[in-house]
Amino acid sequence: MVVHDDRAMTIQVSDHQSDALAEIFNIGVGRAASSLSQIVNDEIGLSAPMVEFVPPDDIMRVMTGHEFDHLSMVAQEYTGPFDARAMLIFPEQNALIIVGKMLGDVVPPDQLGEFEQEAMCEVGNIILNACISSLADLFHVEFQGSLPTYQHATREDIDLLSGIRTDVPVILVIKVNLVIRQQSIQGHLLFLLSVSSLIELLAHIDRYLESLGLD
Amino acid sequence: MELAVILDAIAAGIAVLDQDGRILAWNQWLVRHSGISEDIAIGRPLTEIFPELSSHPRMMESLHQSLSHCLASIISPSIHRPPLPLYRDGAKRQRQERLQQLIHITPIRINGLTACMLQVQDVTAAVQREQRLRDQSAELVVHNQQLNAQLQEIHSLQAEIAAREAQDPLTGVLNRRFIDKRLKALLQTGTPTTLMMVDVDLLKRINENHGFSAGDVVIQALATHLKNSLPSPGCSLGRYESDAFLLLLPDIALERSREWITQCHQTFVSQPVMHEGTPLSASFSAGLAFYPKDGASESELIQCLDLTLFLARHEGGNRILAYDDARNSMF
Repeated sequence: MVVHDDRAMTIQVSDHQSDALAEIFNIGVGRAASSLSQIVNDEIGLSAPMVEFVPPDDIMRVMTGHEFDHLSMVAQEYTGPFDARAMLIFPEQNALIIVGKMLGDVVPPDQLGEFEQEAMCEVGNIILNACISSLADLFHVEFQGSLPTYQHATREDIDLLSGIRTDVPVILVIKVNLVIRQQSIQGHLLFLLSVSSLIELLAHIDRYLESLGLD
Repeated sequence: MELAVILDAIAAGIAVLDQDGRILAWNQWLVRHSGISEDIAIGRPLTEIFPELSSHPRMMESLHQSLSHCLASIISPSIHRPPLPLYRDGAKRQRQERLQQLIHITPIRINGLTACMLQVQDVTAAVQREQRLRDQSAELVVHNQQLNAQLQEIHSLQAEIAAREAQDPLTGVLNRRFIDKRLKALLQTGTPTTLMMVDVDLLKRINENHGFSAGDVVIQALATHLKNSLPSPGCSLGRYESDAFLLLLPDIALERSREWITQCHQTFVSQPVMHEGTPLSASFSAGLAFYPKDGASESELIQCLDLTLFLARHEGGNRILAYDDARNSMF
């Protein structure tokens, strides 16, 4: 995988590194799954079957299909050895299914109301924090995390980069698959990274692989 | 400025915990709603003040993430029962009715050490409003379903009434009014059509010998026989007069129509019609015409059919005749 930077710098992400990332995120979403399962008192499965790096302009290419016309997004800012805006994005319909199942399938609204948005915010909070705390544990580092915010956007007016001052040449995209009460729901985890944050992330992965004797 | 004064003035519960989960700050709002004074709370672990917290995995996880990973969490009332034993007043406390809680747990740094702040908002009113809306919308859904069911019933009744309006009561095929309508529609669209008038032979004699009910049975048998063997779903069959049926076979050529009705005739006459245990032998005659060749209007076409049928009867009945044959034999 090759990431191109505007300054004509090319950053190579090896298969080893992306495999390690996939593994770390699977540990993270696994933790989130057990937290969510405890809340609903039922088995919730979460897996992260795919990890890729995508330039911001291409992000909507990753999310093709009508279901992505209306998006439900939960965002948190993380600062630490590297900084990232992390987002959990579900097509609004999928978010409604998740919230509907979490709330015990009471009358499903056709849009996320305040109540549902709050529930979705917490689901996002659980998943994002679980991923970041796995990273922190495995890399032996510390991050500071903000409170989550909820946003609804259409495909046309989506603005992932709002309020970000640094250049974001790359987005780490992790496809997530959530299984709740026999229903499988797709979404995406996004980590918006600056070049220096990406380099820092890769360095931490290398150190982690080294510690496992896998460099 | 005295920070504690500000904390006490905030209309939300604020607690600050040190790295070990011990309470550093406990504002007046919490004193009021927990019934636990600041003196008792300060210095004690939160889990000692609220022992039941230990069995609330989400709260414990959030506190842990805040204190050991500096990560913030939200615990929303939409997916959790109120985690903390906080009550609006004494009466609610007696009834064990906790106030609904929206909790934010955020990491903060105090003197270079990680601590965390709990903010508890009373969202009871919002949750109750939400619950009422939900109940109402559940009622609306049920109501809507009932209305839909009623609407469906009305539609099916309407369809049934429409079908009955179009039906001949004795035979169940279309009545005169509706077969006329079909004919008119075919002429309006200019669809090439074979028309047939089918007439029971010697119905009068059957009625005289066996009674009117026998005549009815024969008419019913012929209608059923024709209906069941119509060559395509687009064809229509209607009772035109007491003993005569009009058939419309759109897009079917005259010769094919003649073959079909001849076949139909053979099978009908080969089997007697049973009436009260007595076999009746019955037959029919048919006159055929083709639109647009034999006429352009309904009246012209019906005249052709009448004339052809008249000739068929005149020749002894029990036969199939097309308007062309009739014209040739007359002129």
